Amino acid sequence: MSIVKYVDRMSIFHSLDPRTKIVLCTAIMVVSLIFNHPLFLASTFVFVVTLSFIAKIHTEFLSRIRLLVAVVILAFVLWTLTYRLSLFVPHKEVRILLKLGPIIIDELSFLYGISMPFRVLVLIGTPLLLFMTTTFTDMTLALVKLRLPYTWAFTVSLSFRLVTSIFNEAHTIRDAQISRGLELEKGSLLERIKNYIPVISPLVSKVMEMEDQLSISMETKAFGAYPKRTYYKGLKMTGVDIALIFSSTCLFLILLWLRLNNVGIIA
Amino acid sequence: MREIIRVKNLWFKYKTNWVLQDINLSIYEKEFVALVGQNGCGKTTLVKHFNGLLKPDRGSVTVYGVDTKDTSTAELAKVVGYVFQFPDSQIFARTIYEEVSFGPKNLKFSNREIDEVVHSSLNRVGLEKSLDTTPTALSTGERERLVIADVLAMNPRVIILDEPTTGQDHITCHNVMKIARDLVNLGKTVIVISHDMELICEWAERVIVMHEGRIINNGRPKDVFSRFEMLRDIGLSPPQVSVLARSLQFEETPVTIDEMIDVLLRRLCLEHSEIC
Repeated sequence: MSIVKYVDRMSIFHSLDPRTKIVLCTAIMVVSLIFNHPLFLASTFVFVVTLSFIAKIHTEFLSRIRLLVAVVILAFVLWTLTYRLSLFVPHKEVRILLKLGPIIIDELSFLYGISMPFRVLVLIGTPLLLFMTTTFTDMTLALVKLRLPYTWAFTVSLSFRLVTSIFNEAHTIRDAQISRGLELEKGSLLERIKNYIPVISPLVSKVMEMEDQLSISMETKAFGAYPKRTYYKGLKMTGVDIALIFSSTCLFLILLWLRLNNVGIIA
Repeated sequence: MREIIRVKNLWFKYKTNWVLQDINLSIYEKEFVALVGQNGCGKTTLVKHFNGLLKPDRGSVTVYGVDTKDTSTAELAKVVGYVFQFPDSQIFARTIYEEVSFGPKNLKFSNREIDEVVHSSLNRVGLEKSLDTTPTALSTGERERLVIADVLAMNPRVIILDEPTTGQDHITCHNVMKIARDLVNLGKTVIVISHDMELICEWAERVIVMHEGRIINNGRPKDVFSRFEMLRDIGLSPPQVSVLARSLQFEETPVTIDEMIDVLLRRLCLEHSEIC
């Protein structure tokens, strides 16, 4: 299974210029970073999910988001338990909700515990939405149009493309070692980490081999022979794109103004 | 012969796509079975059910009477060994010894037993290298034999070879099949997935043909490869000697060169009795 695989659908979101999608997704991610109130972050996540509905990829999107359950739980537990240890905790009196020996959960740490999983979901879900609705070719082209050198843009899009291959390879290697009697989930935490060595070791070799073959293959196809490239497929901004970039910029500026006035933050 | 693997009304799907549909099959002790079919027809998916890597969505797979749904792959590894298509998917250790001893260690063999099985399995595959050699220093053919030794060291009663001859030279292909034949002679059951029909006809006793997730033929190579129309419909090519015999309008369908020589000699004797 590929997490960042493109999902082909006929939707307004798919038909947007990739640059518009990049701007929109960047704005969403910045919003999730500047606010920390659960209400704001939850709303941002709901907005991302709404976009997946507009893009008609909600089934695939939500099934991939479901894989983050463990991360979400971990984020909640860690932030709730460790927030008070942070250097940036404001010195003010807050209501203690729970005290169990050295474990103290107050109102602020609980609110952070709720906020942070949403931030994680937005920060992972937004690029996911972008990649699920944009082909790698379009993404490369968009990054080039955004003045990124072609080699860099190509490398960025290629690295995402390789995630699929690496994921499949890891799955095959895991199956091969399980077939040899390896029990990955057996033993203590340290033993379980050690159990993964027979999976990780061939995977690293495979990935290096894959990279080597890929670079040779690209060189044989004259990659980088001409510094100035021409493109068969072009990108063209439509009225919808411009309207969307304008409205999302306005919305972003309003949100920024709210943030500067201390709205949408816990403390 | 004793039935060791029984597949009963097996259905399996990846997401919403049924990859295996109503498979019924028996594999017997000391058999040399070949599984053929186009890419994506479900061969690997089927054999992955034999060692519990995949569990049926419907129906059942039993190995020595044990339902694979109730058993872990690690447990089944004691009786079913699986050699993956690409050797590099399973080679990870720094030395040949460490590599071959990995399986037996997982199965809790004693140190003395591990030493014994490492040596015997390497001898069995004819890999006469120092035990300290790095597996990456081996040639492709040697690495293929090394992964077979990896599985043999676990002493399973059934050995699955998933496309062991892909990308190998002619001699290596025959060496691998000879190792498989020797294992059958030693009492093991061997299941081979391959696209090389000539090789299958020469070495396997039974051929199972799969197409779009179903078994569409199952029998002796001679019987299976005489059904030209069926093979053409599913995009498989019969062995060249069979095609030649068909072109020459022979009544029989030889599937190996030796069989072709027999047929030619018989015809020659019939037409020119004075030379026989």
